Amino acid sequence: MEELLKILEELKPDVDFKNETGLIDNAILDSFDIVQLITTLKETFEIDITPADIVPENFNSAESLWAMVERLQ
Amino acid sequence: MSFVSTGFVLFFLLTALIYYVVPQKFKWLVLLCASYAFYALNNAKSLVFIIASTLISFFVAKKISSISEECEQRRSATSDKTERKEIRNQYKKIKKRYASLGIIICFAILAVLKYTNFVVFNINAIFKTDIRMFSFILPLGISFYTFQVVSYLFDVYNGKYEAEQNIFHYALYVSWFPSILQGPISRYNELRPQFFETEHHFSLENTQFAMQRILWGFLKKLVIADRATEVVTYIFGNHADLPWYITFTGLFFYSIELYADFSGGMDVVIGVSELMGIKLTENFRQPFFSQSIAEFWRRWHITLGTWMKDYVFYPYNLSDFTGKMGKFLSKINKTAGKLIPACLGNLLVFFIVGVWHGAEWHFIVYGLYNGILIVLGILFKPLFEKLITLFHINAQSTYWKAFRIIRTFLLINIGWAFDDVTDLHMSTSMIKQLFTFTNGNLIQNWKFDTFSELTIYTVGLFSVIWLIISILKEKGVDVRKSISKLALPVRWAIYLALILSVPFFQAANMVGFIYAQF
Repeated sequence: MEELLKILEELKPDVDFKNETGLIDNAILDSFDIVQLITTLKETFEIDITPADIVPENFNSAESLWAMVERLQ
Repeated sequence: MSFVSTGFVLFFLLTALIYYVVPQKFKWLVLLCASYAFYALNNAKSLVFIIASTLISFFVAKKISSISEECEQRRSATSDKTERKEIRNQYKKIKKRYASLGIIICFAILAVLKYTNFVVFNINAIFKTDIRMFSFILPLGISFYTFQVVSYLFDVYNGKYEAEQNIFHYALYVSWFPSILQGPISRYNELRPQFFETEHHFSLENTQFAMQRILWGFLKKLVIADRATEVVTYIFGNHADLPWYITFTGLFFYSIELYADFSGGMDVVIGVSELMGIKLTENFRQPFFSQSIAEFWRRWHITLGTWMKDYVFYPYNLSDFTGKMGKFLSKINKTAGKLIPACLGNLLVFFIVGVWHGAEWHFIVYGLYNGILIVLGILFKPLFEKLITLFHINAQSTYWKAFRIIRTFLLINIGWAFDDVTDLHMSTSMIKQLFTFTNGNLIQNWKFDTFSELTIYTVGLFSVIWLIISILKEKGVDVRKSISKLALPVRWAIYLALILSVPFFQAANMVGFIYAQF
């Protein structure tokens, strides 16, 4: 989880990823951010993310992102 | 049958009447019959194409689902992780083959019917040949329903949901009559529960809201769009003889025309669907309040944008090819490795958006113009941020936001010079005139003689009313609910004003919907 938060903060330093729960719903992450994030997640955690995984439920918060990473590992 | 015709009003009212009279279990059948009747009444000859796309995508998706089921059965029989992964990969390949086949066939029907003449035209131009053009009938709504069936195939392949087992249920999704002509491009998992799992009872409030929305759509189309068309047609057609600022005014009127035409059509579509209790996805969210081109495309033709994002942008960026390109570029520069593939993906999306709009070069340039502006915005973002700090600009201030909105609006307007034109030559002529501030040949004599002053005042008046409604919506006000809470006389005065405005102010010539041609 710590590693994920580091990746997120590097992507968007001005966002409070620990508490934000509407990364997609509140349009904090756009499609370019998502693509960059996925590229880093794939490399770091050696997981395979498919287009079907790109849904708000998986990307709305650091917690849901981490749950997805754990599920795909 | 135009959406803004008496015939269509009678058609959807009759459908609604039968829909609410028959028992719940037959309601969807009424909608299916109405959808096919609507299609046959409009374009009976091309029924074969929509039926072909429906059948192909239905059976291919069913096959993919059965392969997935078999895969899961085999995977659950073993606890060895490597073996489970191997089984998954093995079945994934088979599923991919079927999905590709279905998608290629559905797109091939669209491509042959819509783009063959474009290819022939270019071959003739390049090789100086004289190949005869084909006279295909473009099936009604083919660009919209093809995108719907492809989204269904993609979703079933990705395991988002299981394939539909009832061909008639699926046929309703593909042919749903309000959205067949000009969208919105719906997703199967959004419509399915509404068609088959929700009980629909007649509600006076729902009917009132639906009728208000339909009426508002009629007004936007018949009064604002069709009158603005008169201005646009004159200015675009004579731009070479007019001052540059009049050409720019023409582009500004085209913004009003296109937005009123397309969003007015959407109001009718969404209203008619709402009348039967089926909620369609909104296609617009006050697009001219956007602060960037990227934001504009998240607010304008939303369902096309999300389709492109889900089925082109993400799959392209997650593909092995893009992954390898990113890794290669990362060795040279880490930021480039992440940004360049995404930027190329964005250009690909806007190239397709251009092609989707029509088989003409100016549409492709229109798409790429938007794509390039978005890419430039991303690449220069660090520089812009430095400049904002350097000049002590408060990025959260209203003035800065207003500046960004106006800048985006101007860029969008310039882009229209590649959209509503006959060819690229006309586009470049208009752009050249705008950027060199050139006045046309007949500067001394120009005058608007093909439309009356009433047209300008009418478009102006109703656009201001529309702007006020848009501001309220932007602030989160539900305008229809607010009106329904007003005192009865006031409420009915508004309804009557709306009803009477249509015949009183509507343009003399009714023009077909722009997006119904796609």
